[in-house]
Amino acid sequence: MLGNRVVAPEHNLLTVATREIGPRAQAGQFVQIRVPGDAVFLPRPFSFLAAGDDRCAFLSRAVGPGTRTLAGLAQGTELELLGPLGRGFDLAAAGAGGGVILVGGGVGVPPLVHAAAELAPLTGTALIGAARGGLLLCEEEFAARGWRVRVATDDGSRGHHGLVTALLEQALAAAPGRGAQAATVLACGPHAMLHRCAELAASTGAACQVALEEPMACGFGVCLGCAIRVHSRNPDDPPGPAYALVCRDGPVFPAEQVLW
Amino acid sequence: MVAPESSLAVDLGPLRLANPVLVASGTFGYASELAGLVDLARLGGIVTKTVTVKPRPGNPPPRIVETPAGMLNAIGLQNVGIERFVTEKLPYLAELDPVVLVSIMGYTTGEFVTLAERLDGLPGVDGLELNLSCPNVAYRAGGGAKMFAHDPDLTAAVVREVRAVTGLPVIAKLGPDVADIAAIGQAAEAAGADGLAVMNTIPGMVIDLERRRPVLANVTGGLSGPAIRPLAVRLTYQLVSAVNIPVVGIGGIMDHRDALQFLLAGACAVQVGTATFTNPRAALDVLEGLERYLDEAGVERLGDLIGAAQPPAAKEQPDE
Repeated sequence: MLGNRVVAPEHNLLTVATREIGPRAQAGQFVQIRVPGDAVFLPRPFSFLAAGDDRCAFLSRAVGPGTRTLAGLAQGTELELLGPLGRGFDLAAAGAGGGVILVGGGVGVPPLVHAAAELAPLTGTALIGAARGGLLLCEEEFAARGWRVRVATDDGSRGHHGLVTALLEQALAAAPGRGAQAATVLACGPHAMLHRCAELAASTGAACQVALEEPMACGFGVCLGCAIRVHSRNPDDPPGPAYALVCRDGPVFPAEQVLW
Repeated sequence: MVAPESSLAVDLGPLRLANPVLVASGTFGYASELAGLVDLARLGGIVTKTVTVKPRPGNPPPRIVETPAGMLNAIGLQNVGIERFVTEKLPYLAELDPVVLVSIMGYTTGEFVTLAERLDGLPGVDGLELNLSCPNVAYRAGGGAKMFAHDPDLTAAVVREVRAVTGLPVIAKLGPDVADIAAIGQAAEAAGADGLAVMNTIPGMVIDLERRRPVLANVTGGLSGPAIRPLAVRLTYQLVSAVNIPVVGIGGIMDHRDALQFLLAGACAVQVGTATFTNPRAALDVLEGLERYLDEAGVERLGDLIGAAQPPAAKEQPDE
């Protein structure tokens, strides 16, 4: 661990030295971090905030014993990471259309920062939501790359008083392209936020990719624990509901594929 | 300096394993999933994800929840079904060096027979592990909803009928929530099982205080991980003293010291399961730890340790 510092209340920026993972990482992919000690049994999945040749960065919100342990780790602590895992955002598709809109809620913002870095020099609109102003994450990272940033807070302490999806509704109204000229929405955050993003994108003809999170054990497709219901189905799939694995088939999915 | 490979070889009934470390069913997929992460050739054996006659989509989510020193799962035997297993998964497994045990599960004795007949003689299938003890599906055994491994007669019936249709080695995998594991194991032995594996997960439950509902959509799930290890060691110890066929120990093995407990209890081999979720190389770490241990303890053959914790009378029993 190269660094571990608080960047917002209960939010730590973890920087890890690794030469193997960063160069292969794509925005939206994740790593499994084994939490040192006995606080928790299973590793914890984190999407990349940033990935470089010799280091990777992750944002952790301390919500339970695992993430609280991570928040207390000292620089120099040896960590076991497995990654990069899963499928990230399809940025080639995102860059080809009529503009990119990033929507991040709470601690869902990090993979969008990574996406903005990979999309450079392309820019667009970044919409960030949080419970209150002090918890808005990574505004300056988007602004420094030239993205238009708008924020929303549940308590109205910063920006729009309400949900970040209200800002998406406005942004989509201002980007009325269809088909090849349609905007692309990349979203990560709470399930209800992602569902609303999917609805708004569908109703305006925009493309939408969502990064999901589910309780997960292995992270590489063998425990089959992180299943979600999806629409699409291969002809030779079993009868009954169709499931996809967040760790292997995602965590980024085309929004229309998810059975909300 | 590590012990030569031959000192680790063990016999699982008619099967010779290069070493006693297998990976457990449901924790290693069909092996190809781990190919980029693990040197598969070094494993003693691979037990596949359980295959059923028909494809199964699995249970609705949430399917897993973490628990103290372990986890609950209720995957619901999601699998591609026997036909796709044979055409899509088995060719890859057939190319691998380790012994491959195909885990099969039927809802009826007849379905076990169907699966055993289909797999008999196919390249890549070295043996069958009968999953008589998955806690997450409803059975129709014996006309009622009952797990095969809960009943000596049902266990024996499956083993006997499978035995009759295949020349493959047959390992019966038993569950922990029974009053008399010895009786179940003896029934399987008398019906012709080549070996026993113990244990499957144990049914458990976690309740979400906010929703005031069970966390898992399936309500209950199978508990695995280090939390169950002492239970698994005890069952292994009891089974070994009750039967004259080999026993494979499974349950919460995280490192070679855990594996040694099962071997000392009398297991001829072990399966590493949930540990793989926390470290894909866990089984190989166990193997390397065993190699170091033999070297450091001056033990020539791993076989010399097997059953060493049994009382003298029990150790002599197979010769009586």
